[in-house]
Amino acid sequence: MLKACASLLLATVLAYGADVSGIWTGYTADRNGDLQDLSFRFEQHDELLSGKMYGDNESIPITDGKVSGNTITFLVTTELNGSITKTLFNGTLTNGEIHATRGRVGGVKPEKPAPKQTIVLKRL
Amino acid sequence: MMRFAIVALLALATAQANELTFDEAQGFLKTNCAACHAGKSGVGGFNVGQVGAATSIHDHSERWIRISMRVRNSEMPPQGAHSPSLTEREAFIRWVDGALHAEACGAGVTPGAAPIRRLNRNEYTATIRELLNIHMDAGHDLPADGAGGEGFDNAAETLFLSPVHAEKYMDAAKSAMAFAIRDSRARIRIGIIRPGPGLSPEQAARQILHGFLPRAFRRPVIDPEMEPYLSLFRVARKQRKTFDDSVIYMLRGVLMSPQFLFLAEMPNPGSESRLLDDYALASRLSFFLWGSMPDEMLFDLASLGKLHQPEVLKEEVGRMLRSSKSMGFIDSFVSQWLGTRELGHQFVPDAKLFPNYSTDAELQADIGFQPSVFFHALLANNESILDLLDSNWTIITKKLATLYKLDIKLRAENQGQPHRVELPAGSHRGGLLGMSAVLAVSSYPYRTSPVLRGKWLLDSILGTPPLPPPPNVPSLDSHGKGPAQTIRERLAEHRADPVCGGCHSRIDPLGFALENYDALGQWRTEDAGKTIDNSGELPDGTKFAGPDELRAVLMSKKDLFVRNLTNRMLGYALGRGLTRQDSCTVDAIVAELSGKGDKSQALIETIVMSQPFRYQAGRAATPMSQAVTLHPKTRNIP
Repeated sequence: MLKACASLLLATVLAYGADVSGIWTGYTADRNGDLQDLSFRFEQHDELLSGKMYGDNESIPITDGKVSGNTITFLVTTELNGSITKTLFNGTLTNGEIHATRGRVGGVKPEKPAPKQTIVLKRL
Repeated sequence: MMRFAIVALLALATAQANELTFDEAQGFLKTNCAACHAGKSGVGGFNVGQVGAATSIHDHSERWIRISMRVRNSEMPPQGAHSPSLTEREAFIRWVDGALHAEACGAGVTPGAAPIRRLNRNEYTATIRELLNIHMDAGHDLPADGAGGEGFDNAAETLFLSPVHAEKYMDAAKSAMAFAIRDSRARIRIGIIRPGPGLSPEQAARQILHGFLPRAFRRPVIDPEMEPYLSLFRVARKQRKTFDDSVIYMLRGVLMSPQFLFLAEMPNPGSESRLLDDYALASRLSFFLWGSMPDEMLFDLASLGKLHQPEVLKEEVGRMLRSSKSMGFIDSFVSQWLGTRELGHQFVPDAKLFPNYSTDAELQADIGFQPSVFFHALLANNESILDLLDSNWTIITKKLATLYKLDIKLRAENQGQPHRVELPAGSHRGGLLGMSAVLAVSSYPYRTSPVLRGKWLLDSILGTPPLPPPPNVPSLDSHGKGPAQTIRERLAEHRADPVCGGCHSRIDPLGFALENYDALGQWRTEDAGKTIDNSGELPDGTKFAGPDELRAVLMSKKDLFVRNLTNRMLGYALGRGLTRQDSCTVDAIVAELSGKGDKSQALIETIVMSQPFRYQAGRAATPMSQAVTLHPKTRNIP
C-alpha cells in the first residue's frame, strides 16, 4: 500500500513538476547596471500559474502562467503613462532555484535594451 | 546563593572597570556622604547603611542610581562640604554603572518592554501615503514631535496623544480622505466599490472595510471589529449622505482609531518571553527601516507565517535597505543623531559672514543632506561604520566641491546631484568630521566654538558626554576680558579654574583640533589675522594637531564609537529609551559586529535579529514605567 502511494506521488511530481507556490525573490540589473529587487508570489494549480509581481508601490498580476515539468512561463503587463509593456518570463526550476530570463513581447524596442541576463530567484 | 552571585558579579564588574572595588566604593560614600547621611536621622531619609551590603545593587538599584546622579551632577556633596576630585567622582560613577550593568545582565539578554506609541508626524504622513496611495503631506499641520529615549522623535516616552493632537489628527484624516476620494489611484488602493444590482450600499461598505481595515490596522481583523465603522456608515446614510460621503465618514473613523494611530502589540499573557507574531514583526521592521507601514510583501510573508524565520528576516532587511523608502529612515536617524536636523532652524550661519550660504538654497540643501547620503552609501555598499570616523571617500555635489575647494571632476551631467568620490590626499574631508553640516551645528552662527565641538564629539560620537557644569559656574566671558585674547587664550584661563578645568581639559582639546574649519566648515589657516593653532592635548597626555590627527585619536577609541552608534540605533529601532537590561543586548551586538568587520549592514541586521527586536517580554518582565532607563550620560559604560 505504502509502495503504491509513493509511486503515485512520484508520478504526480514527474507529471506536474515541483510546486512553485510561494514567495520568490531575486535581483536583476537595470539598464544602468544598478541592482533591482524582483519578487513574485506564485500560486500553482496543476499546470496553471497565477500570482503577482511585487512593486515599490503596488503589485502587478501575472498572466498566462504555466508550469510544465520544471519550466515555468508567465507574462507581466505594465502600464506607464498610457504605454503598455508586456514582459515574458521564462524560467527553469533547478536545485530549488528558478533561473529565469525575460524579454519584451511586441511593442517598440527600447533604444538601449537591457542586456540579456539570468535572474536567480530563491524561495522565501 | 543570591548574595554569592551578586558578589561574583560585582567582582567581575570591578575587574572589567579595573578601578574601584565594592569596599572602595563604600569608602567613597563614608568619606563624602556619611557626615550627613548616617543613622536613622540621615538627611532626606537616606543613610549610607541602606546601601552598605552587596545585595543592595539588586535590592536598591534605584537608590544607587540616585546616588550616582547626585554625584554626577555635582549636587552631592553640597557646596561648602568636602568635595571629591573629578577623578574620584568619575571612578565612583563608573563603579556604580558597572555594578548595575553586571547585575542587570546576570540573567542574560531579555527583550524588555514594548510600550505603545503614537505614529509620529513623519510616520503618519508616510503611512497615509502608503495606505491611500496619495501624494500629499497629510501630517503637515500636526504638532512637531519632541525627542525622547535615545534622542529620537519616534520614542514612545514622548508619543502620547494630547487633545490638541487628537483634533489635528481628525483634521488630517478629513483632508486625506477628501483628497483620496477624488483620486482614481487612491480609490483603487482603498478598494472602493460601488453598490449595484445584488450589492447593497451596506454590503459594498462592508467589502471596502474588509480589504481596508487589515491594512490600516496592520494585522488580520475579525468581523466584530468592523462593526463600529459600519455604524458610522449607517449614521451617515441616515443623514442622507451620498454613498461616497458615507464611505469617507466611515474611513475617517478608521484613521482616528487607536489601532491605526498607535503602534501597539497584542500583550504576551505568558510569564516567559516569546517570539513576536509575524504581523507585529512586520510593523516593527517597516517602522524601523521605512518609517511607514508594511508593504504587500511583508504582509504576505506574515500571512504565510514565514517572516520570523531568520533567513527570511535577513533577506527582508536587505530588500528594505535597498528600497528607496529606506532614505526616510536614514535621514531621520542621521539628522537626529548628529543634530544636523537643526541646521537652518536652531543653527543658522550668520548671513553677513557667510553670504555664500545664506543666498544659496541649493548649497543649503547640499550641506544638509551630505551626512545622510554618506550614511546611505555606506549601507548600500556595506562598508564599515568606522568610515563615519574617517574615510578616503565622501559625497560631493558641485556646490560642495566649491565650498570645500576640492578639485574633483564630476560627471558633466547631473553635477548638482550627489556623487560618491574618492578624496585626494590632504583633503581633510573624510568621515563625518569633514562635513559642513556637522561643523556648522557645533558652532555659533558667527564663530566656531571649541567647547561646542568638543562636547559634540564626546556626546554624539563617543557617547561619553561631559558632566553638566556645576551650579554657578562662571561663564567663559567672565574670564579674560582682554581685547586681544583669542578664544584659545580665554579657554586656557577658563581651564585654570579648578571648577571648570576638570571637564574642559577633555572638551576643549578636541574642539581645538577642528579650528581649521570655520563656522560653516570651510577650510582656513588663519583666524582674525592670526595663524590657527590646531593643537590639543588630552588629560592622558595624548597630543594631536589638526583634524587628521584627531581622526586617528578617534579611531583609537573606536570601541566607544561603535557602542555609542549601536546604542542609538537600537533605541531608534525599538522606538524607546534603552534600559540597563538592554545594555546586555548592546554588549552582544557590539561583539558580533566586531566579528563581522563592523560592517554597516551587519549593524542593522544584528539589531533586527536581537532579542528585544524579535521577542516580546512576558508578564514577569519589568514594565517600561518601572524599568531603569539608561541615563543619557551613561550610554557608554567603558
